Amino acid sequence: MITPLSSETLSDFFTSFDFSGESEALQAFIGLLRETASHRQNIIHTGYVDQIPFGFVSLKITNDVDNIPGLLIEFLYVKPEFRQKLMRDAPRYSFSMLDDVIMLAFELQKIVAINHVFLIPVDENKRSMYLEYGFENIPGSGKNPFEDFMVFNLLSDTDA
Amino acid sequence: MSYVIRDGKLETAKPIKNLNEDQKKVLKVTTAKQADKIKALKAKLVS
Repeated sequence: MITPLSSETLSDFFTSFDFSGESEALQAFIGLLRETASHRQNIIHTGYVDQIPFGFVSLKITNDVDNIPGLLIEFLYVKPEFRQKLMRDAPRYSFSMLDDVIMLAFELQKIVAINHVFLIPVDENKRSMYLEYGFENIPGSGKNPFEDFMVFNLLSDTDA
Repeated sequence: MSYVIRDGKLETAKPIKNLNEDQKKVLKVTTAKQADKIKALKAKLVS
């Protein structure tokens, strides 16, 4: 299960990551998320396997999609050495973190009215992964098709 | 606010206003894949 980081533990957490192999833009993005998390504008949730952090996901509440409230996955990161590997009964580390985010959203639904999880893949290569998980493109919602919002609806027929 | 990497640079993504009908449909219709996932994860939560 993913674990939220307090602002006081951000520095220690990020020292366990080496982002030098990532692009300058991605490093800038991670730096920004770390900075905004220190001001409680987003929460970084960490994923662990055998007490080793394998990745993190940055979450916040958004109304960027037509003022409809939802949980926003700002960014999901998995260390390169953990990408595409199997983890117990989950097919991928990224999918395992997405499962945890969706379950977190279920808990949020008990106290606030949110029925959607939104995201924009930080680069287009990741869109197919989110489609495979179950997210859907919101066509024409981005500046270009590569930047369309994606959504995972939380209401099933039995909830309606 | 959301972010994207556009042309190798970190940029902000614009919020979307006034969804059209096709866009609204995506938000209203829970797909079979999403429904299956919801069912499985809710079962996992109570187990």
